[in-house]
Amino acid sequence: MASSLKKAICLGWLLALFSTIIWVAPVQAQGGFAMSGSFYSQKLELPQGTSLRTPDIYVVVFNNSDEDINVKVSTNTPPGVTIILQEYEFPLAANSQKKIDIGVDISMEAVPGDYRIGVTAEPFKTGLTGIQIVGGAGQEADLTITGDYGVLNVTTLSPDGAPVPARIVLFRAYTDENFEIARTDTGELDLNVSPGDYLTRAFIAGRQLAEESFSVAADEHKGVTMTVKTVYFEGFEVVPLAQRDTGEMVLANVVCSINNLLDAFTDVQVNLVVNSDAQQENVNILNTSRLEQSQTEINYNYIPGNGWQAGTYIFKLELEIGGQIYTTSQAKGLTVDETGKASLTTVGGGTIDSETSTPTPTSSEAADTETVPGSSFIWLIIVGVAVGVLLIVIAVILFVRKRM
Amino acid sequence: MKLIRFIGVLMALAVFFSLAPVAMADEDTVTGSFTPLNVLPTVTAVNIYDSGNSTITNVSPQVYYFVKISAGDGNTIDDIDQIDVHLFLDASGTDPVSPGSGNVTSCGILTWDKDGGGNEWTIDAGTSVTWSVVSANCTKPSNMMAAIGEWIFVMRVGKVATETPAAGNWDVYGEAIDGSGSGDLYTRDKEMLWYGEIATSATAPFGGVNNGSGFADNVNEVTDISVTYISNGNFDQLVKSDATWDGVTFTADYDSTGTCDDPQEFSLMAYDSDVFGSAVQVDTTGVNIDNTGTQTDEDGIDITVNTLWLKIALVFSNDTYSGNIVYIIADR
Repeated sequence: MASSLKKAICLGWLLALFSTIIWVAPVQAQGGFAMSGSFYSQKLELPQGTSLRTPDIYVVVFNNSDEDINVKVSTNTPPGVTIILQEYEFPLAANSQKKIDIGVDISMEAVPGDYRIGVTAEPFKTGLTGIQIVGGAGQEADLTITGDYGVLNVTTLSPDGAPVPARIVLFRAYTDENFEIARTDTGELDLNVSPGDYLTRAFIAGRQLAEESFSVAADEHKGVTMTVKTVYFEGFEVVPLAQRDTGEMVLANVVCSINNLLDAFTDVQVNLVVNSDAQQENVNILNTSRLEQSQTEINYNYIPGNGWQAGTYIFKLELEIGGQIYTTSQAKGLTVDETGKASLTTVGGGTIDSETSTPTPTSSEAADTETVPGSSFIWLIIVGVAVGVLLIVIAVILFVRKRM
Repeated sequence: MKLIRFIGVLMALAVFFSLAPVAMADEDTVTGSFTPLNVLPTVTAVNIYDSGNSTITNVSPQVYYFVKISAGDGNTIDDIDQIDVHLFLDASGTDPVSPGSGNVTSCGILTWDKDGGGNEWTIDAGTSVTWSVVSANCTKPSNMMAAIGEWIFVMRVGKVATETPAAGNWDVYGEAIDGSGSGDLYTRDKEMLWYGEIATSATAPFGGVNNGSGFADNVNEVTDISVTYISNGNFDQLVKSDATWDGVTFTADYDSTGTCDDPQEFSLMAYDSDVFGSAVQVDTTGVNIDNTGTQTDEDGIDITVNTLWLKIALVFSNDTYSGNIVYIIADR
């Protein structure tokens, strides 16, 4: 026993004397390894046995150096929780970046409670010798695991009740911030959620078309339906055109774009509704058997049936599909004063939002001569009626004279 | 009788002239001198989109985004001389007006200038060198004779655009300008996400190390490790070690307790100065050596006296070991 102890001590001394370990100096120039992304800003609240997948929870890793690197991503989680990445190691070229979506799986064995979970990315090189000092970057997020949950179904429908494959995004709603927890592009979202407040939005072609807020209680089966209109007016403007010499109002040029984001529609009409102090006019300015998924420009010259009268005119567009009003534009106001000159007005507020109410012939934008289809309508009526009345008067006089 | 016929003809002509305008209205034109009122341009939408064409709420510095602005002009969009989009900090979340001038931490102004020539697309963010617009990928409406069109800026937010973790946020302001005025629109409440960058070219030349040595002042100590941190918000400085370091023949195992009782164990202590008494035990997930980092400028802050102390077990095989020590910048 004593002999063995002596041998061990001797071995220790020998090792101490001769085993001088060489720690090779690292030689790695690291420049500009960075991270950003939304992972750290999350307040994740998930029931046991659920998974979270959304492209809105991610980190972005940057290689701002001049050399290609490899990146290793590690995670830090409590038992029963797994952070899911598309890739845990990947090459990253010089001066490039990579977005990494982050998913979270909560097993049924995970213990309810509050946690911090983390992601760290660091560069590495293979084949180098020595102890390298490298720069990495990381983020941590809050995670609350709950035992209770509700079942949620969100769908998007058209006004006539047909399913619409819109993008649905679901947010967990807090007092001052919302956190995305799920999304789909199919128009239907089914998942289990922790009890609490939620917000959901529907998008088509990147444009938000609907939004709903609601709460989900424990053990509740919640259904949420969002109605989305995929056709809308954009850029609706009314441009007054005045006589060059007198400045008197001649016609209103109505311009607008109809944006159809999704499927084509049949039997589509656009009506221009004009309300003035004297009358209301409803003029059909577009009638098409099929409105394709596209942007359609409308350009229409409007003259009131009874000519321009002093007062305010309110313009609005209505889009009808199959005889039913599908959507309307915002209203635009135009005021004609006693001298026949026009100015634009905001509807409801009565304040002027155009820079001038009197067109100036010297303006660089003044058209020298314009030929305006349909603008002679009122003059033709006046002349025609006058000639007709004159002929009737002559006929009546001749008839009376014959009788006498 | 003739008179009655004549009267009948007159009546027929009267009816004809009365109805003719109605029949001709859709086809007829009239020529005259008209002046279109120079209506102000309008901005109907302005927002930030990701590469998947989705509007975003969270903005990551240095990520490429598409800022889309739809503008209209009743005189056709050819009347529009300039499009501006301001992305600016709303520090208190009170929805202020745009500051109107570029700043490296608080405002980037994207501009499309119709007469800009080679500088049709520009960005102003004060002294910044990391805000950028990718002119070659920006687009304007293909039909400038239309009433409405969309301009798309491809841009990156600067590295130190202020993070907004609390009440503050960033707002987007779009403005279309023609010869006599402008129309504008705000889109509020974008969050600027944290950005952290780290750079080091330091070395850790521990050299030859005696078995059982370490964790004492000036023993197995490497100092003057310079690390540069850049961030748009608060950050921590962490250090971690690989779980193993590999020799040519042997493998060393990291001991997060720092005792190194078992053969082939090694451990590290670290601090952002060379004061051993302040050093903290390093682990394999990241230990905090400084939790006071705040927003930097675009050049960052250099911590030049980071120091490491190495300890190895008494029984440790002679070899040349390779591994990583990782300095980490992390959000706080």
